[in-house]
Amino acid sequence: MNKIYKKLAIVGEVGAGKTQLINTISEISPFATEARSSVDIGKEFTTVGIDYGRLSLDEDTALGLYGLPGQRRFSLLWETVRQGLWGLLILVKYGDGLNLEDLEHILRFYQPHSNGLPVVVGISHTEDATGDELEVLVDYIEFTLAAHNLVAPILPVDPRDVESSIMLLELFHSLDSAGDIFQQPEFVEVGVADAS
Amino acid sequence: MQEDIIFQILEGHQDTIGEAIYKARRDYQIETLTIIANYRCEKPVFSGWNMRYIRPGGHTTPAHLERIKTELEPHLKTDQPAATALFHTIFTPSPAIVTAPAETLPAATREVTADAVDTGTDTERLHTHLLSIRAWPKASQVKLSSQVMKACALMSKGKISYQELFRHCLWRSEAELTEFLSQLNHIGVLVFAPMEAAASSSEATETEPVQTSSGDRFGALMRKFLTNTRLRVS
Ligand SMILES: Nc1nc2c(ncn2[C@@H]2O[C@H](COP(=O)(O)OP(=O)(O)OP(=O)(O)O)[C@@H](O)[C@H]2O)c(=O)[nH]1
Ligand SMILES: [Mg+2]
Repeated sequence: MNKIYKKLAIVGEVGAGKTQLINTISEISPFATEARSSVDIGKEFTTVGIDYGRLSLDEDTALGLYGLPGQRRFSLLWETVRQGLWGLLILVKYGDGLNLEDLEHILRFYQPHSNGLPVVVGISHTEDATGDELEVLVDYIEFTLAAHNLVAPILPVDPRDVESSIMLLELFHSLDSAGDIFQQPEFVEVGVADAS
Repeated sequence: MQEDIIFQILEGHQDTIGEAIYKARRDYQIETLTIIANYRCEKPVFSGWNMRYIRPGGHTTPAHLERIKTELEPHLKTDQPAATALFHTIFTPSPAIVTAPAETLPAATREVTADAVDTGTDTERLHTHLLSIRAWPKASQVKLSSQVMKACALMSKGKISYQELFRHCLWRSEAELTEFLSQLNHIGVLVFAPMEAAASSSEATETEPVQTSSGDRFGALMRKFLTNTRLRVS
């Protein structure tokens, strides 16, 4: 049987929880012993900070988890995780103020809309956030995405929590499946509805 | 209205509003900022209204207050006690507020109110239109069950009929789907599009077997993994 290997890019600023999320997901991998092995991403990258883990679904099928720093100066690293993407997770750390420029660059780099790439935005470190503060941040991210023709889930996540991490995978799975369904000719794709 | 409380209604494009609020949050002159309602509307609800200073004992116009109250009440953030409490602080007329002759409201606002109330036919519209969403519902508005995730994923990618949604998302009942869609409509993210030519082709698929992505191995294995793990975790 052919091996299937897909990638999840997890992009986020310092301390957003990339490493934590990769660990949480790798640990629940049904083939846990294999986690963090086999795929050679090159030593030079690990030293400058690509995190790597994997979720093995069976002997021949795995999802590679790549933690990538969110700042634009690391876009060379983003480049290495561009092919075979299953999804793009943008992790935003609550409370640090959103770096909109970084978000812009990430979106411009990956072009999720034209590439049909599922995107989820997770907001971490939200335990102490009040509901409306969080809502404003969500709104703000929402219209940034809208400028890139994206309608994507934006939700609080806790990368330390298994259930929350699974929820992220499930969202990507739903988006991925929806993409397949819409490849049937009778469906019409939409961009973001014009608010005006 | 109350000492030190400024109440503001902002209408406009979500990006303009988002930006204004983003800035206000960082304004050192504002101690706390509470959003008591946040929702979408098709037309301006308060167009023709200007800045107005209403103070206890002054020549207030309860009609205006009533009007704002009626408009906002259904949209209150009920999950946030602080927001609800603040709303009632502002809108419970205190004896100090002197009742003045009610001014008539601008005609435009009355029209919009009539529109807003006109939701009775929405269930019908669900069946006669293709559906999509302009934004995902927030986690605080709708619980992300796997049906909800699937449905939103589909509606964020394209326009889809009610029947297709029901087929692809494994809803337990039509009532559940209808309720979910009404909820989306209520929070203002649901978009209706006329069926047009797409109607005939979606009828044609009715007889074909349901094609889900589980056709591909990765999707199927992921599905299995998620199901097993969820059982294990919860
Ligand atoms: N309280 C709280 N802690 C979190 C959350 N997410 C991550 N953390 C913790 O924050 C710390 C930093 O998380 P990391 O996963 O190392 O962050 P990172 O994105 O890998 O950061 P860099 O590698 O520095 O870019 C860890 O101790 C995490 O356990 C969260 O939602 N809430
Ligand atoms: Mg890290």
